[in-house]
Amino acid sequence: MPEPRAMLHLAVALDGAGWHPAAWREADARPRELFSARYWSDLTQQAERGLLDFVTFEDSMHLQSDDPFAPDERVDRVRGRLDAELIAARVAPITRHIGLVPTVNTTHTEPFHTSKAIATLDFVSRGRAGLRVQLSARHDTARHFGRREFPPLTRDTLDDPSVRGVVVDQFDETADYVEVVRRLWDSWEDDAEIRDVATGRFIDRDKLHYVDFAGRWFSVKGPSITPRPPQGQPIVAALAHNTVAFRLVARVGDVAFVTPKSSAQVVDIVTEIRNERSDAGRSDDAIHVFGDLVVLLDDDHESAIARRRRLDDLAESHVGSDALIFAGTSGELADLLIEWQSAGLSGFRLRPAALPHDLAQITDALAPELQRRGVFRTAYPTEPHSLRQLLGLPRPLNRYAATTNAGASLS
Amino acid sequence: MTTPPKQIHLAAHFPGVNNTTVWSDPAGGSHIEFDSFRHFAQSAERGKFDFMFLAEGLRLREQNGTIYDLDVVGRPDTFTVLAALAAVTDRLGLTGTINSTFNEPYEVARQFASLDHLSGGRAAWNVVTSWDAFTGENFRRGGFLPQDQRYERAKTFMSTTWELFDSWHGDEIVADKSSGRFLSTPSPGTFQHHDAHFDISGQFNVPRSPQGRPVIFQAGDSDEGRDFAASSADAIFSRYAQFDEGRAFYADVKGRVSIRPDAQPTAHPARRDIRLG
Repeated sequence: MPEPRAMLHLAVALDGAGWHPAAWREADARPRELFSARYWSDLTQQAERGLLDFVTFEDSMHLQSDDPFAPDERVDRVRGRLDAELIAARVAPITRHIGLVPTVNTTHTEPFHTSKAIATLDFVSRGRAGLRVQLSARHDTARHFGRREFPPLTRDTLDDPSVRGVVVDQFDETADYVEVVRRLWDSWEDDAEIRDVATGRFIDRDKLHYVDFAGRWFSVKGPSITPRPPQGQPIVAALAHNTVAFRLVARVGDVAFVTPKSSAQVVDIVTEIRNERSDAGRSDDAIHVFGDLVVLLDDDHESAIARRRRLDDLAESHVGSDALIFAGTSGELADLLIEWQSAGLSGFRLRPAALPHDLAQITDALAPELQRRGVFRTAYPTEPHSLRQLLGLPRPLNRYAATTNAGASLS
Repeated sequence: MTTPPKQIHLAAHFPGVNNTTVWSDPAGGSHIEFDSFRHFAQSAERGKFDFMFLAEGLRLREQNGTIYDLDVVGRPDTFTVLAALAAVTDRLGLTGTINSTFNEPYEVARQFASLDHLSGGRAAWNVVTSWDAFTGENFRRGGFLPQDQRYERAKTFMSTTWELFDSWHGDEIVADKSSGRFLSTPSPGTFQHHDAHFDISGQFNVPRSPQGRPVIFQAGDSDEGRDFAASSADAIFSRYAQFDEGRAFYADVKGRVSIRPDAQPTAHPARRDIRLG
């Protein structure tokens, strides 16, 4: 008897008018609405109609540029964006099932603020919040804050030992950052609020905990000003391209977004992340590895190829990506996703090349195709559910409550 | 002929961490679940209030070295709640208290500009300052400010966020599909600010929001606080409930308003139409 097929998880990455730089020029694009609530509401609700696990919202602390290390002065690309965490909060009350995962910069922000913001996103969404962490070693971004200096980065200096040291430090700093965010989420035990009228106590203060983090880059006292969020620990995700990033997400994350170009690379990447997870002493904690793909989907193969060519021509430059760019039909994409799933991925974060077209293809053609093949949900759970539940992740115990219990058993 | 009465403005302050909040009543709702905020905001909107207001405190209060447990403890993140409330209200102003000591102008300007976009122009900012090392222990910035510098930092923080809000003029985005021109200018949002507190430059990345900038509230009462409010605020919260005291406060702040704009030419000139609430 064949084993039932494992279900795969689907997420979509929302950014501007889509991931192709010429996407905003498509007939159905809404480039004048990129800064409106309605635009983001429509996209997120569309993703929810497709039963997706979650959406991510891109962000950055600099104006977008084609150059990954410095501003450009292009006037033919989408420029300007809204704060991703606020977009996620704005769409939370008008959605019910789908996870909301904003991108947050870890280099220039405060872990205390981020922890309470994501905890609050978890409250307003009733347990559907996540956090995608992203660091920035860009010199120009650091100048926006004026608090630290980074050497100018270029492709040529990337392998320079001093530059590499700065980058590796930033990954370590991000690990500390997530550690603080997570400790703060646990800094209130679930039942800390007692409202005990007899004694006049609103909380049991023994169930609030200082996190007392002291690291190389910062120290944070705690507790959080916000109680423990519904999920206990909202999910933490990161995009990872190389060993140092695999190590970060294996140490602190629940979901890794990776960019393989072949089945063989899937095997290598998943193996490396699992080994790093094990080295971090966390092999018992599930970690999802999602493949990132830029997708152009049409009802027939030739149309998708032609559309890609037309967009590339409009963009007036070679359009590449860190992720594989897939142009074809939803059936062809389903073949590829299932092949890569067999190689070790548990899900995919699809980057629609053009919005809303490619998102609609994902929800209206790809999702039904995957359902027909028995690898994707046909409905959300009927009971209220968290993002962790959609991802099959348990609600974690509170690290401080566990300590208290251990202490009690010794006495 | 009678003159019509002057209209008054009404705001609703979400009850929370202070000793006037009654939490012991069994009907008292959660101070953290979103439904409480939704109910509160929608009620205020139904009553045609100008705006609702969220306070903030960035460290739990303590007494004798232990967390104070006799009042409501804990609150949500201000920006997140206000952005979510923008989805369930249409007209109500959304005022958040945000600290100018434990934040950076680039990030706060992004957040307020984003909130203003996402609420269709309903964002407002109650600017507060801290100087204590106690709160600073929760932040990587850490440390504290000498008390006499906290308003100085607040002032320059505000004028810096102003420069960021104003770095986009509102005509940059043309988004003309046929010509392929998204921007009217190659370097939108360019800014440069150098002073004792902030040395920053580059490009702001949120286009100009519906209001241009959030409405500014202030509640300081010390001499420096009144100066700061007079020079920077659109409206002031007064703590005086007695007529004579209130009138004296009004006269005092109005007097400062008429002096300050010339002393603070770069901040917010011609701020004479200040409201006192």
